[in-house]
Formats: sequence, structure tokens, C-alpha cells
Amino acid sequence: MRATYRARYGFDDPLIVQYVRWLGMLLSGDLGWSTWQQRPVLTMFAEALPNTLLLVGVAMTLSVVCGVALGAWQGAHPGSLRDRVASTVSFVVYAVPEFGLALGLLLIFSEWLHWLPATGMTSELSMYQPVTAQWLDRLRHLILPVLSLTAIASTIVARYQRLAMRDTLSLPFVQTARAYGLPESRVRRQAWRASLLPVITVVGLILPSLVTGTVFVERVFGWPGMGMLLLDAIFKRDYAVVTAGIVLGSAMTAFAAALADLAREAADPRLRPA
Amino acid sequence: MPSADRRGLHRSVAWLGLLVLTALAAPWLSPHAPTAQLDLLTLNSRAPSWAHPFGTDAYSRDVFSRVLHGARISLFVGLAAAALNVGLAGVYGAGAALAGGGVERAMRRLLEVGLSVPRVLVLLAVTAFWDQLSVPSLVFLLGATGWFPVARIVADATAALVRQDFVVAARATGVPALRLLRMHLIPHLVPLLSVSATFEVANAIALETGLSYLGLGLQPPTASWGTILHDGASTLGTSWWLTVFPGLATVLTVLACHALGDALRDLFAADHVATGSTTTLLSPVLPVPPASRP
Repeated sequence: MRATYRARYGFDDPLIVQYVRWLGMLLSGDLGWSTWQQRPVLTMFAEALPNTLLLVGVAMTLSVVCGVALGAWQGAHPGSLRDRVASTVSFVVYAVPEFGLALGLLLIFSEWLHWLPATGMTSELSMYQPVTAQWLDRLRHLILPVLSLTAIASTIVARYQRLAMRDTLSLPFVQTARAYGLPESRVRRQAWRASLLPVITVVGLILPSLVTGTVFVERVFGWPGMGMLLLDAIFKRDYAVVTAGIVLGSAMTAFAAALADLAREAADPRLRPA
Repeated sequence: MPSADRRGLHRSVAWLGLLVLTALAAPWLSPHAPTAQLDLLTLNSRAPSWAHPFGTDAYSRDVFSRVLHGARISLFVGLAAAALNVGLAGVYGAGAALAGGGVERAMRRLLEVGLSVPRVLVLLAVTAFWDQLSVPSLVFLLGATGWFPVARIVADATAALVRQDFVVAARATGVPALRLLRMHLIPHLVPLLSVSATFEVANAIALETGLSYLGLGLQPPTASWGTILHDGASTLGTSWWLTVFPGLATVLTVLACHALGDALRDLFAADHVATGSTTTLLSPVLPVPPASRP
């Protein structure tokens, strides 16, 4: 029995042979066989990936928008009361660990106030409801996980945008625009556009934080995504799924970081190699 | 603004000092042993009361005592892991910059590889194959991962230092390498390393708690903030005290470390301005928002 299994999974071969075989399978898109669920690892991730992408995608978009807005609003008046208040709040949110924030939100909004659902992507009986109610139900499930991820990531963006905005406002072209008598709102808009460049880099920087966040947030809110799959696989000792999850997670991070680099070059001609 | 900053600094130092005292005196302060099951039948999952200020858990253990003992673990893991982490980063970063040439390029490439993998994924991968994590092995894991960003900053700072006139002059007069390192390089790297270490304490504490909360870090019945959170995760709606108290302890400690790190950085920056040195010596330290999250 043991011998047949060893032979079937190729555990008899030297490690290096197993490793090369695994690499070859990886390159041909075969992530292996899950001993826990008895089905291909690829289909398991194919089911989980869209859920994670939905979460991360919404959170990333929101955190860039909110972070840029908040940072620009602060940076336009550095040292003012609103700058200080916003800085303090974002310092606190920035420092709080992901699971701390997620657990806090869950406890307050779901367990105590009962405003929002605690776990999962949909309610149990929502499939028997009309379509609009189903969408509303999914949206309500999305709010808390997205809020946890967005709160942290947007403070990172805001920190950069605040400094970028403050520095840009002291540049000569802003002085010139003011000297020409442009209304302050137009000056701000121009300075804001020029200050956006460095912020593109930040998108690459918030990715690891979002990956970390997803693992914890999916666990706290029972969101059936890649993070949950990875954690469940760790407890089931299903190493094919664990390795695949880690390779996929790292690859997605690296890919997105490369995208951010390309976007930066596209936006700023000075960075292109001559 | 400065007065507000000072207040934050004082508060964070006060909290951390209290925490250190609590951790040291935990065996005398806590009314019960952290793993003592007081009375499984009548004292399980009790809400906070005078006898049990933080309530009791499902095994009738006193949560107050457990949180106090958790401070020992969190602080030890945080300090030890940060020391290992920053030590590794310092040796590797300074070594790369001093080696120069092809060796430096190769070492920097390796750093970039390390930087591209999110730390939590590495930790999850290792804990998946590691059956029982003890405190020393967790310290080793946290210390051995996540030092890449600091190593890169150290490498940049050292490379900038080596080009400074006083280092060039020292080398030209034939100061031996070790003495150069001790007298000229290390003193200038201390601000950078100490600020990074403070943030790393926060990261290590957050990661220990997080991993233990997931059930992948320290194992029950060890009393750490993370394992208490893990115990409370399934009964969040009924036994909120299992989540609120260790959660607050973690959040406040991490916040205090961040505040202390920010304050230290400002202090070194102010020092730098006050002495009127116009060199860009500290510049590798200053523009970096160094509180890189795990």
C-alpha cells in the first residue's frame, strides 16, 4: 500500500528529480493534485481566485482614490488643524495590525450593532430572493472586508500623496501660476496632477500589505478566497495546495509590482532608459 | 505640533515601560496561573467581574492572568526577533556595500529576490511544514525573514558613507578595516539601525500575534495574546472579552512602538539639523518612510 503510493506520487525519486518535475508541471500549468479534496489544485484556485481578486481589486481602487484624495487635501495645508487630525488618525490606522482592525470592525458592526453580516460572501437563503436583493446582499458582505483592507492601504497612499502635494506646491511652476493670477483652485488642480507621479510607485508598495491583509481578512470574515484556501490547506497538510498558493501569491505580487514600474515609466518620460 | 509629538512619545514610552514591568512581574501580579483551569463546570466563559477583570475562557482560565503572561511572550519575541533581524540586515547590508563591485551587485540582486516575496507568505510556507513552533523557533523565523528592506537601506547608507571625505581620508592614512568600521562607520549607522529595530519590534509582535491567532504560531495552552485571540475567535459574539483585551493589548503595544520609532527618527533628524552638518549622511535614513509593514 505504502509502496504503491510512493511509486504513484514519485516520492522514491531523488529530491532534485522531484523538484524538476514539479517545475515542469508548474510551467505547463499543472499545479498538482490535492490529497485533501481529491481534485486538481488548479480548479480549487480557479474557484478561489475571483473572490480574492474582487476583494483586492475593490480595496485597491478605493484605497488609491481615498488615499490620493486624503493626502492631497492634507498636503494643500500642511500643519493645519485638519492636517494634524488626519495625520494622527492615519498614523493609528497605519500601525494597527490587519487582524486587529478586522476583528474590531467585525465585533462592532456585526456582533454588537448587527448592521452588517459577519461571514461569507452571501447569506444562506439569498438565492431565493429577487436579483436586486441578491446584489444588495453581496454588497453588504463585501463592506467590512473591503473596509479593513482599504483603511490600511489608503493610509500608505495618503502619506505619500501628502508629501508629494506639499513638495509640489513649493515648486517654481506653482509660483508662476499664482503670479499669473490663476485662481487658487486651478493652481491646486495643476499641482495635484504633477504630484500624482510618485504616487504610482506606491501602488507597488501597498501590494504586499494587501496580500498580508487578504490572508487575515479572509480568515476573520470567512471569505472563500485564496487566503482561506491556503490556510485550510496548511491545516489539512495538503502540501500541493500550499506550495501552489505561495507560488501564485508571490507571482501575483511580483507581476503587479512590475506593472507599477511600467506605469511609472509610461507616466514620466524622464524615467525611460535613454 | 512638537508638543503633541512629545505627548505621543511620553505616552508610548509610558505604555512600553508599563508593559516591560508587567512582563517582568507577571508571575506575582497575576492572580492565577495562566494555564490553571479554575473550575471547568462553574467558572467557564464568565464575563468580566471583580474576581476576573478580563473574564474567563471556555476552559475556566483567568484571562487577566493570561494576558499578563502574554506580555512576556510578546515582548521577548518582539525584542529578540528585532535584534536578530536588524543584526542580519546590518551585517549583510554593510558587508555588501563594503565588498563593492561584482560581489555587491550579486548581493543586491539576492536582496531584490527576497524583497519580492511577501513576508507573510514565507512565514505561512514555513509554518505549514513545521509541526510545533516553540518560542525560540518562532523568534528565529521572524528574525530570519523580513530583514531585506532594512538591509537595502543599510547598504545604501554604507555606500554613501564610504564615499564621504572623512572615510576616504581615514582609509588614505591607513586606518585598519576593523577600526574604520568601529570608529567611523558603525556610529553613523546606529540611528538608522535603532529606528529600524523599533519598527521591527512592532512588526514581530504583530506577526507573532497574527500567526498564533491563525493557529499557526505558538500552540495552546501557551498564553500569548495570539493564542487567546485564537481561543476567542469561534465565540466572538458571546465571549467578546477573549478578543477585546488581548486585541487591545496588541494594538496599543504596536502603536507605541510605531510612535517611539517615529519620535526617535525625528530626534535623530533634529540632531542632524542642530549640529549643522550639511552632509547628506543621514539622508538614507530620513526620506524613507521606514515603518515598512510586514
